[in-house]
Amino acid sequence: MQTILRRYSRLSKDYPNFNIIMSTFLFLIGLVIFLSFFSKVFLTPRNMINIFTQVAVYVILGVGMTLVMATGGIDISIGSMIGLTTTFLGTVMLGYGFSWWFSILLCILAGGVCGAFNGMLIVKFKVPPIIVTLGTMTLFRGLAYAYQEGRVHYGFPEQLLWIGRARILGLPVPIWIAIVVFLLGHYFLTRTRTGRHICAVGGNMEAARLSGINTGLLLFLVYVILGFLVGLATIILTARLDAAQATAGTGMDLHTIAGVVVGGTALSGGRAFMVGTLLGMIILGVLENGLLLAGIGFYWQRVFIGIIFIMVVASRTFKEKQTAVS
Amino acid sequence: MPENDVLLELKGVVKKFPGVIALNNVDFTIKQGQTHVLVGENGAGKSTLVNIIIGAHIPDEINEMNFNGKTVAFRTPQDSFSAGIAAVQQHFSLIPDMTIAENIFLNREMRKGRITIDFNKMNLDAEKLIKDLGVELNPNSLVRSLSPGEQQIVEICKAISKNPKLLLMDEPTSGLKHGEIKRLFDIIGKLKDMGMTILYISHRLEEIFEIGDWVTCLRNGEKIADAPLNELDHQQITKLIIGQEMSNKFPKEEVAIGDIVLRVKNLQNQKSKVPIKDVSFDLKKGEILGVYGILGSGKDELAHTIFGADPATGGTVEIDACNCKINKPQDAIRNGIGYLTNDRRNDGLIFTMGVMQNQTLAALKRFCKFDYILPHDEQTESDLYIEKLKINTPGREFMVRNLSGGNQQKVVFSKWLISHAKILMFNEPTKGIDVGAKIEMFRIMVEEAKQGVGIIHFTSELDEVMGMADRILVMRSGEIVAEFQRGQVTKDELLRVATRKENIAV
Repeated sequence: MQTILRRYSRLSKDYPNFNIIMSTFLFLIGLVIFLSFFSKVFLTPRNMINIFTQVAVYVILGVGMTLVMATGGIDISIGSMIGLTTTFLGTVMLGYGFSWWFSILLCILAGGVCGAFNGMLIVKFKVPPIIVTLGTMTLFRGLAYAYQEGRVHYGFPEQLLWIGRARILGLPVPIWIAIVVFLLGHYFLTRTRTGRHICAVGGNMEAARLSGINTGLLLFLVYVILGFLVGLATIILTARLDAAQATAGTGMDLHTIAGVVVGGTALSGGRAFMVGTLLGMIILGVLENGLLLAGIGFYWQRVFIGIIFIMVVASRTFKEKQTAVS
Repeated sequence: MPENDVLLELKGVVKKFPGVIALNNVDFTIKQGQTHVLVGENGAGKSTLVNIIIGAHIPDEINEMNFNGKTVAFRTPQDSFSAGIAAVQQHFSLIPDMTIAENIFLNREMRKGRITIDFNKMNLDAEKLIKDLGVELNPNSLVRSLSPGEQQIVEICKAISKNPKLLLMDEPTSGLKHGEIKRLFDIIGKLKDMGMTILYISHRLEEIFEIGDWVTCLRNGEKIADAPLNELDHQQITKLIIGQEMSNKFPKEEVAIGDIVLRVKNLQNQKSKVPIKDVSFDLKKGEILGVYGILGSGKDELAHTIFGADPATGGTVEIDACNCKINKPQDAIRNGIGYLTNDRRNDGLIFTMGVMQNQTLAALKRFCKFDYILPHDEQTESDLYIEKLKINTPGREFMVRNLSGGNQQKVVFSKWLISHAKILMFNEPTKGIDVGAKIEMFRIMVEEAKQGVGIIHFTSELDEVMGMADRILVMRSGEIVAEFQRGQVTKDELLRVATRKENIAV
């Protein structure tokens, strides 16, 4: 036991990345154990599947957001993007009657176009990401409202609903999609050259540029990727609800960012962890579900989640500042 | 306090950082009224010791610490300032958009009554401080409009205005032109006359002898010498710092010089900070071409322009007789140019990454199959260069921000070696590096030259360019104004050519 503890503390001090993931994971375990005392239903398979189905959409969004934050950027317009793309999906699938797979493709593309719009403003016009996405947040939502004129699309074809409701090997389809996206995202970030370059751009843009990395292209790329993933997430959301509303996605941008940050990815860029994002989303999902089952009302849930979020991030930042070499 | 009484004493200081023991049971004493010089390599523990004295770091262990006759334990910089220690750091903490007077009295502004600031009194007091140092500056000017040398004077005034018992100066001459250095030494002379005790950190031997009374030398976290300066000479001090006799100051060797590998013709850059006007020169394989210029000569801008970091507005660059368009760093790297900038923190290293990741950054493609990085290939190459350049690191995954300056520079160096550059450009390669690591840098430079790499060595250090270059180009105001062969020019002449139009008497 002594040697395990000693090995752990040496690893944590010399390799801070390991420490971040490990401590987040331990926090999750602790949280699950704690919450299980408040409700017998919490640890049942059915509830767990419930949690993970909700979390699946956020994991998909989180993978994209992690890439964006790895470059030191941020995108708060994804909630509005969801509203816009779901409206688009409804129009295309039900209004124009395109085939289901073509409509899905168009939806994902639409997400990419929104992302590209963000990316272009950020790279070509050099506007800070927070400002750009603040603007597009309003723009996309406005477009969604204008486009839909208050109607709600519903009555989607079977093939789409299958995505939201079917199960493969006992697990709902969205969970499988999320697993695939996560694995691809993790592989991309940690094992590929482009992934490495993205982290370099976030870590020190000038040094990356002077090492021959095409910083402009990469900055643009991550917003487009996020856009595509938003489109994918929208499809799952629409499939589960069997409804497309212009208000869809409200608040999901902040929840996504919160999950990524809890997972250890730094807002300043350069340090990004897909595994952390996965853990972060699960933590948030577990919290919401666990508190609900414990009988805590909706509003107090937000209070608890907010406090825990601040505690996690503050303690992590505090520890980092302590061990940083000046 | 009478002269020669102990002003500051630390006993048994221990400080550790992840992976390294910065200070290992060090005792340190400063006597009242002396100008005490602290020397040592980067990584020897100088900065750590200084940070402990000013309260920016808390030691892991310390037997006792006395200042001005009282036992103290500084937990924050505020504590040391209240006790009477003032510091002039390497990086200034001035507010550019405020005036000199406002900066000097920041957070200590004189008030008329309780709230309103008394600007008149503030300006008058600031003017007196400036005059006492023998300088002419308008206390109403914005700090943003001042040169680094003048900004430093503001920092000094700020420190003096607190009536400190101990004044700390950390590498004060880095970033100053010759005339400004002389002015600084005059100021230090005045401070000494006023009876000020000064702790002066520097690695420049000439300066140490000019203004110091006493020297303490650190190496690898231990104190290895403590003596009055009139008992030592240059050789002895260098030996103390690096721990061995430096028989050959610069490891220069004769290298066979080959064909022209780089040809710059009429290169122009109207958009850079110092505009480059019509620069032309050749570089041959195996040659070390020195480009000597002082601050403001345009040598930094020239390097940036050749590399495409700041694209040229006119002229051509030919590599191996083929005319290549270099509009961005990618183009330069593709054509075999490597560029070690003069600011490794900002331009050279990614602090969120480890040693290996920084090393392979410019040449990742080689270790990839499609986009997938082959871990084994990358690791092997990284280990190879850690070995080759003798980079002192616990491992290849170690965070570069925790390495000493010299080792950080070696990591940047290996980045360009790994990219198989045929043309290596170094800008101030030994800035902020200890004597031992300096020699290493030059040794590696010569090794590369022997392999047929063409090297351009941009520097403002006379000794270096005289010691290492086969040919020396002198830059001034964005043009090349002279060319000399090795051994056919003196230090004085080089300096004269480089500064002719500059106003050296301030």
